[in-house]
Amino acid sequence: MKLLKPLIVLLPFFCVLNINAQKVTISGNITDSANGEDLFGAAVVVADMENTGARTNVYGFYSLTIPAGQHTLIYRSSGYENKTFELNLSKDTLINLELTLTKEVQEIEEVEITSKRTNNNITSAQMEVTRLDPQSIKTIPILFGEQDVMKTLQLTPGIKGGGEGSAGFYVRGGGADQNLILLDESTVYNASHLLGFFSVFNSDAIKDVALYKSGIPAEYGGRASSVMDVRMRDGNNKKFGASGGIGLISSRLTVEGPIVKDKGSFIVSGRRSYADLFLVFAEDETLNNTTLFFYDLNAKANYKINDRNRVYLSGYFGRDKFSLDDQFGFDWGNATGTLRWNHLFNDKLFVNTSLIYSAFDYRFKVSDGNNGFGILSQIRDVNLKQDYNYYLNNNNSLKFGFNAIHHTFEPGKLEAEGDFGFNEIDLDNKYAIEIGAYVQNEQKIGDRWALMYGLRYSGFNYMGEGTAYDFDEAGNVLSTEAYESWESIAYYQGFEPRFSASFIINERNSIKAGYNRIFQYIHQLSNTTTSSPTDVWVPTSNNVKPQIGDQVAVGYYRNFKNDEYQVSVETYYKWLQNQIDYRPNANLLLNGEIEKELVYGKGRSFGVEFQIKKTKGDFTGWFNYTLSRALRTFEDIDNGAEFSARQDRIHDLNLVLTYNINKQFVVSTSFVYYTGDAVTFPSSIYEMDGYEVPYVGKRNGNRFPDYHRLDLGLTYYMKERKHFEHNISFSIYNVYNRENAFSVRFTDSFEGNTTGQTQAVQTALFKLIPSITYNFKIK
Amino acid sequence: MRKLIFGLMVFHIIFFTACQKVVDLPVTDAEPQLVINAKYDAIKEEVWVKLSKSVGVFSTSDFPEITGASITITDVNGTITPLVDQGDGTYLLENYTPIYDSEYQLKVSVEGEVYEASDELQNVVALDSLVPEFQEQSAFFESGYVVFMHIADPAGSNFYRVIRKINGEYRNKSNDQFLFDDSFTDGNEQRVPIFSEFYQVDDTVQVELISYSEKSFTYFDELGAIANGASSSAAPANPTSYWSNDCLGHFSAFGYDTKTIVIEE
Repeated sequence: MKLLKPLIVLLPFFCVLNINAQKVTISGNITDSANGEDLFGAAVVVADMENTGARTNVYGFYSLTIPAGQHTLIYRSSGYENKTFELNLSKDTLINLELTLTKEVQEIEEVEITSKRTNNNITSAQMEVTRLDPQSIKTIPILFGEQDVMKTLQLTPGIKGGGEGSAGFYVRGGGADQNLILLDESTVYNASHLLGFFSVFNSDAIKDVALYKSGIPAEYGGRASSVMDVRMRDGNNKKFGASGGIGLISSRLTVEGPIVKDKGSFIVSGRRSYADLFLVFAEDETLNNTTLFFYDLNAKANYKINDRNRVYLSGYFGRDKFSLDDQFGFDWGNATGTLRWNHLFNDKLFVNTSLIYSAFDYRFKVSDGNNGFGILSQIRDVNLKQDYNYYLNNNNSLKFGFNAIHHTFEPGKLEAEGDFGFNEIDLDNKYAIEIGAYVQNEQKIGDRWALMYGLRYSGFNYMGEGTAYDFDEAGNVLSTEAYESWESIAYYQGFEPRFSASFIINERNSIKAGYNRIFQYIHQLSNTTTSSPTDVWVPTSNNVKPQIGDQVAVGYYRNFKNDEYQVSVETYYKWLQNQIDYRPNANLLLNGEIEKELVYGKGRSFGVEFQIKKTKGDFTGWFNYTLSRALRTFEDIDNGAEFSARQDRIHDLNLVLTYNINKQFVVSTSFVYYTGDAVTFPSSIYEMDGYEVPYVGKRNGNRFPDYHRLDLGLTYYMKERKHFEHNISFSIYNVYNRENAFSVRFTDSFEGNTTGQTQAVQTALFKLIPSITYNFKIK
Repeated sequence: MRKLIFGLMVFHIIFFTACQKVVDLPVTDAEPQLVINAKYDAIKEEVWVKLSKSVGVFSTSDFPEITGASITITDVNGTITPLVDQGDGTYLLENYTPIYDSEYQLKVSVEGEVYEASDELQNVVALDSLVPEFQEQSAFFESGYVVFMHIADPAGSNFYRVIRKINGEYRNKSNDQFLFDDSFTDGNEQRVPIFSEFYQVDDTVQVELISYSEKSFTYFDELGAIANGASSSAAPANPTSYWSNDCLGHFSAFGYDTKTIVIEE
């Protein structure tokens, strides 16, 4: 019942109805004429009425209610040819429409990090969303030539990579675990392959990526800092096709086609890396018995039962494997599955119901053939979710829905073999139910105001079967209590207001503001400063409180020269409560009482982001500069003094440029510069038992050297045939061979040092790396 | 789906070499701090203390030795015995008979401050035998003999440290430290391999198996972690200090069992 009160408060906003004139509703789906893929964000505009139109949702559905009579409708989507109709509308009408790519765009692959309509950045209520379409970024140079949406997102303002050797990322000073990463609505717990050199997202299988960093819509919840929403392609429902790429260390292949023409389609996309295959040729017996690879598989099918019902089934399965000579093995991976049902109650009410599964596990094994042990850990979710879109009238479109996730955490298990004398360990599973319910309205007021306001309720029930521990301040166990299956141990809940508004000064200028509060109920604990598959996820419990993130952001947007240039300035302030850190020398591995190792504090981050983008023409790209801080305060660390989070990069600068020389050649470059990560260095050394020991200084009181790097790319499009097209892309990573710090250690025994003096020795991972990839497409 | 035939050549070079170099980085030097390294070796019946100070990270000067302190050890019966200043920063007490399973207290008065710490001398767990086993060359090791310790671990928590002397030479670098406890193996007959080094025929291997208190085990475990560069740890920290006053170092009281073998073919 608590939920009802805020709903009633919101209701008057929806009642801006006019009751005269007969109304008709036009609704339907907008798709791509070439492959039948749903177009998200395509617009239907009523040319003869001011400020009247609708936009498609992620399933390509739109609904628009206007007075009956003669109207001119324009259907449009960026990169597609407009379609215009003169219609005399007297009753509710279903218009399913296919749009065709404009010829120009087929030739020039624009770098497009923009919303679908060219000046949508000015007119929509939503705060700036970073959108990527894998097709449009494929010329940007990337490590090993493997095009990667996550790496490209890290070149945009406010989104910072975890550094080389880490696929984690930080959004506006938030932690790496504060990003909700969704693949077809299913949570991806570990988005990295090969310890961060690749992300798990195979660009060939991806339709669209959106990253929300402020003004996060109420339909999303569960992570304090951002949402990265990745949608898989549906597959071509017109004809069969295949595409793929062959690269230096990985290859990929995608097959797609109709199940029933125009009614259903499938897509299967696979990837495997094979860097280790070359090790077979190594002289060294150890090396040639080493395995190090990943593979992943995306599959999706959909079927349109009728105009009112459509079903989708999609899944991802990926795994990394690393082994040394059968003696050491380490493998990890994600599995996700989503079953969806789109249903249209009537031409104004659209509902999607999803049943979602998500799992991540890792295991490692040490063995000499007879003796050894293995350790494994897993997290598993089952999620039931329902989302409604209600197109109330021309000025209000309403979203509401709910979901419930059942979490199972298997924190760790040790299995022994042979006679090393290990006892088997099986830490208790932990269980929880996480629920969410929301309502949100997007409202237009006059020509100038657009509002998006909503409220989300979230709750978390940490429950048995299990044992709850009670700790004193020093982390000693005071008491334990056993709970039965499904018995509640602790319950947390909260209301999360979400708000975004835009004020359109004129067609070229707008101001937007946003606020959101988000509760985060599960937390990732990391043994190291970089991300690793062995990072543990722990639930909120009787000891661990939910993290709470609040953020306000304000932005100014201006387009120049017929929307060719877009300039924006956004500023934000973020408060983080109940942040988690560790006691000194914490042990996170196979620790049944892991909560006693944790300390709690708060954080804040703030900054300003400048960006200039050029989105049209042969020459495209963007430049951005961010000035920001990310700070934390913990009573138990340095006596409560505020310190820098690792990702506290004060200055951060990116430049990405792409130039279409002609129809065959595209060149590109990107440049990255940021202040070195905050790290903890020793502040003195002392002697114990004949060797030197560093005395650890203030937490994150020092800095790595500044990071900078220049990459170059060249793509050569070979002659296109009717059913076949192919290209080769060359790239050079780190052109001027900068050695960027991966780690720094202090030692007196580095090669060539005879003085006995301690030196700072830096390890860099990648120097200059050239690569080449061949891509093809059979149409 | 026509013309699926295509040919291609893949040409590649990867410069995939992690590279290291010395860099010039500013660090913030802390004030010099007192270091008290104190041990009661119950087998040698000797109490040994060394007082020194910390120096700046990139300093080339020696660690300052602190003389003129007054140091005493107190046993479970309250008997106070003083240590003798050796004049080089070390302090010594010999022929000090142990009382196992009891608490010892050390008190250091220096530069107008008093520092106190205590440790419990544990009963010594026997090292039953040392058994060498030949290992083929593998991913981790060259071929050679691994020495396994056979230990009957008593019920209840036990904390061990291994000190090796090979052909008469102590292995005492920071990364030679080998500490283990019985948290995964409590009460079992244990066969613990010492992987730190592989031995060849005719090597003489002497192993001292120290029985530590939990406090001393934790201290040396944490010290080893930081000395071996745990700077990439999520929570890099100095070892927990058990001194009553702010200083570095530790007081440990311990006994050990020793076995020696000569590797034979």
